[in-house]
Amino acid sequence: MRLLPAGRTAVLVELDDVGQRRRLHRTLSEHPAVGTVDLVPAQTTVLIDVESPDQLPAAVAHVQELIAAGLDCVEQGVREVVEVPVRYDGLDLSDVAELLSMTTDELVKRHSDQQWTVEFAGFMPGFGYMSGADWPYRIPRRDTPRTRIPPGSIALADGFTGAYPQASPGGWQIIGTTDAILWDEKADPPALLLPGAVIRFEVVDS
Amino acid sequence: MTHFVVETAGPRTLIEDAGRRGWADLGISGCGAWDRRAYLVGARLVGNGAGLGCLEILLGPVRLRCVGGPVLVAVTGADAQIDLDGAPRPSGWGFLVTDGQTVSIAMPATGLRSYFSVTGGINASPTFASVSADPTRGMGPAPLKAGDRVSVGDGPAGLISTTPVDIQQAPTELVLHGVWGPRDDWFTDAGRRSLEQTPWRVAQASDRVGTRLEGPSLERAVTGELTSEPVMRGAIQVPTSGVPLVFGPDHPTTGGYPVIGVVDPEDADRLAQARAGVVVRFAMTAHDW
Repeated sequence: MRLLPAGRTAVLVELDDVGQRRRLHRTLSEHPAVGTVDLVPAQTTVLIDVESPDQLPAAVAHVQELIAAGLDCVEQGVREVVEVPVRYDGLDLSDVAELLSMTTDELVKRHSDQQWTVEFAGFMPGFGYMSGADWPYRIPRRDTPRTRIPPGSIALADGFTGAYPQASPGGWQIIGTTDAILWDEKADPPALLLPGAVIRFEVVDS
Repeated sequence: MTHFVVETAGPRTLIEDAGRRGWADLGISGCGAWDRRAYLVGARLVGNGAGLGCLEILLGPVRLRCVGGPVLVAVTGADAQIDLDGAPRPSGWGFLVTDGQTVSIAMPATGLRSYFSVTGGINASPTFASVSADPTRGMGPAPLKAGDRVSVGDGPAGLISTTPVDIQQAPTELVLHGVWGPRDDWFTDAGRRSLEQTPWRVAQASDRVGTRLEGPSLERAVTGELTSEPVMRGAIQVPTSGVPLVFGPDHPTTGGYPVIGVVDPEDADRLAQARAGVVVRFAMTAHDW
């Protein structure tokens, strides 16, 4: 674990692993440093950005204290599971199944038969990077990125599943489609896939 | 209600305010006026409190016809010539505009961005408590085009500053102060020295996402790939080419290239006025906590 400088108002905490990063993010969500404007998680890092430079030393000390206390002040209760209906009809479904040496049915079963956690957001508003406890696969991006991945696409890249609120070009491998509203800027919260949320994909017929 | 009809929109005119900070964890950028000093000075000259909308005008020329009024307006930022129905008006000072009159903001001699402020602010439908346009993410109001109407809020003026502001020529050379890190240790001593010793030049491809620079490649000590991590306004990111760029108000919220340092906010804002070819130097210090 290291604390890295990130300008006059921010500190970037680099954690040893994803689990530690999750615990720090949850702890800071519940016990934010004074003046916190943005708390941004990524794979193994968390950024704490405060309102003014004079608040930064106290924010740094706050993070150090939480870490020294073992990050165990968070209740480990079960979180509500968000169900996301998916038609597994993606253009790359059979390619991915072949890559993993399994049938498409097996791939669908493995993908839908477990809980996913939104690790962090980014890339576009409402896009969540999800990891699965029983998903050890790292899926390469397509050699030639698609010019358009349609909205609602459920796609795979690296160790993640992602869901596209809007169309975007990209190299992620599309395995399915959801009609769930992933992003509504008038809603509170605006994103369905909030960092920390637990997701289950529910198979629906094409 | 008072509004302005856009007769000439210029290459890019955006509604911006103090921005929408606090949503970076959902992938939403802070946005807002890039040259925050010019935005705040303009707000004071027309008696606006913090956070109301203005027009951020890239280059120009822009012509705005007033319907309704009279309203107090001010233009700050780049040193553009202003006129009202053909008669010169000072920039950096408020003036009244009445029904039917047209404000023209010419191409500035130096600098890039002018800020058009009006008492009551420019109104638009807010997204996440901000009217700022973020065309990169398709969020907020669209860039203005000829024929658009921009409405003016009817809030009363607060304290109006009557002190004229000296609008200066944009410098041809900038020294940007900043803090090393978070990933300065991904670069060799020579790479870090090169960041500070190179007279970088602002590249044409710069926009509100970031100011691209031209210059040598910074030598890396760590050559692997960085796992995507949060990035911030003012971050000096070094992509595969080794040539740095500095993130602006519409920056992505995460990035997979190392950030060697972060420019101080007030200095990063000066890039709003840096045309292609302007020389940029970095003066970095260690963090103080």
